[in-house]
Amino acid sequence: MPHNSIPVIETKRLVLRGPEAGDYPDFRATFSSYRSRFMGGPLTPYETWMLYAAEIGHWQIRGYGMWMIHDRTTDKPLGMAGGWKPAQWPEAEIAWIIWPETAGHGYALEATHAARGYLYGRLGWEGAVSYLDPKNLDSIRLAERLGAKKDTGAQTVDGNDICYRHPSPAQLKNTQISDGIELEIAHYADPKFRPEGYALD
Amino acid sequence: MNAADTLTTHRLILRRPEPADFEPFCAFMMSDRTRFLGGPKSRRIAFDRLANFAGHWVMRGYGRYIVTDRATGRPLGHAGAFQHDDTIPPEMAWSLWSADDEGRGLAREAAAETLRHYRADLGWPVVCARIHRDNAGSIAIARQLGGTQVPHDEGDTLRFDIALAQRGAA
Repeated sequence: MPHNSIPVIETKRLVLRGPEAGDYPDFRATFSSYRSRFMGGPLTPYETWMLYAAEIGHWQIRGYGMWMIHDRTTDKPLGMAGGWKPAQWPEAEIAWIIWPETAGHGYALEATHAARGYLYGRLGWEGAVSYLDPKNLDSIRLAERLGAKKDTGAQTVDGNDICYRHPSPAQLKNTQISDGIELEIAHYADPKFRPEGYALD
Repeated sequence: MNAADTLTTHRLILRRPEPADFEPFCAFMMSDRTRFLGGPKSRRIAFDRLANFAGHWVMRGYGRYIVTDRATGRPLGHAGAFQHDDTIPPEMAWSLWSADDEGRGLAREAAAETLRHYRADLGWPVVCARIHRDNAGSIAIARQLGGTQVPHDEGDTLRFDIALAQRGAA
């Protein structure tokens, strides 16, 4: 897929676009830091650059990939979310990462929910998994908020990760799961109802 | 200014990477032919590397070309500049994916065409090539392309710089 044809997804607070060269500094800051410890990091400058190029190239090889999440008002990059399937990944994955300083606003939930909706609705995915580090409690929590359930029978990437299986498109269509997600996103979007007491992606 | 998406020579067409290049590229990466590049590599690394090639084009506006047979379209290898590190000049590659395609000067033909484009159309002053000291075939190509060895402190890797501006003026 040519880079300029990567679809744009808009949500209430966010715009998801293909990753650009100009978005690299935030990616580098996160992946060279402890924040990336559950995603193979921290990485060296060489590894970080190559991974970012691979994030972009994944779109061209697979026809889908990780979107860059932007604040709809300020355009500030907030993190990434989307589909991910390098060679030897057992199944297509839905993945997300939020830049550290923007965590705790429900952006990952809103972005990943929208990305999953696109992959299911427009690209015809019948389902998806997320491969998570068992120590990455914030991401496990987000997977569960997205309605995913731990699948102990599924093949994992390398045995050090756990597989969460996302609800199918049918299970997300006007069900309690999807209503609950929409409700939580709406509460983040309305400061009067912002959840208190825990910082989550 | 961005590099041309396609370059054509007498026998070759050089173009940007495409999804269908993965299997032949993977066969190359997993073979003994990458022994001077730290290989053989896994299928996983091969995928990441082809994705790097494609993403580099978006990041930099130039990158590795896939070298194809002009008559049949068959992918033969890759050539062109790559730069992840701004402190050294763009780094060249000229790799043929199968031993069957060696011996006809195809790698040199592809690399020479990219250098012509970088010099004449983009005005680049210099590129470099990092080559394992035992990779005699590749060292010979570097010298044929005008490369001169420069001091380089990296184990068994030699560095050749190819000055493009001087060649243009000569």
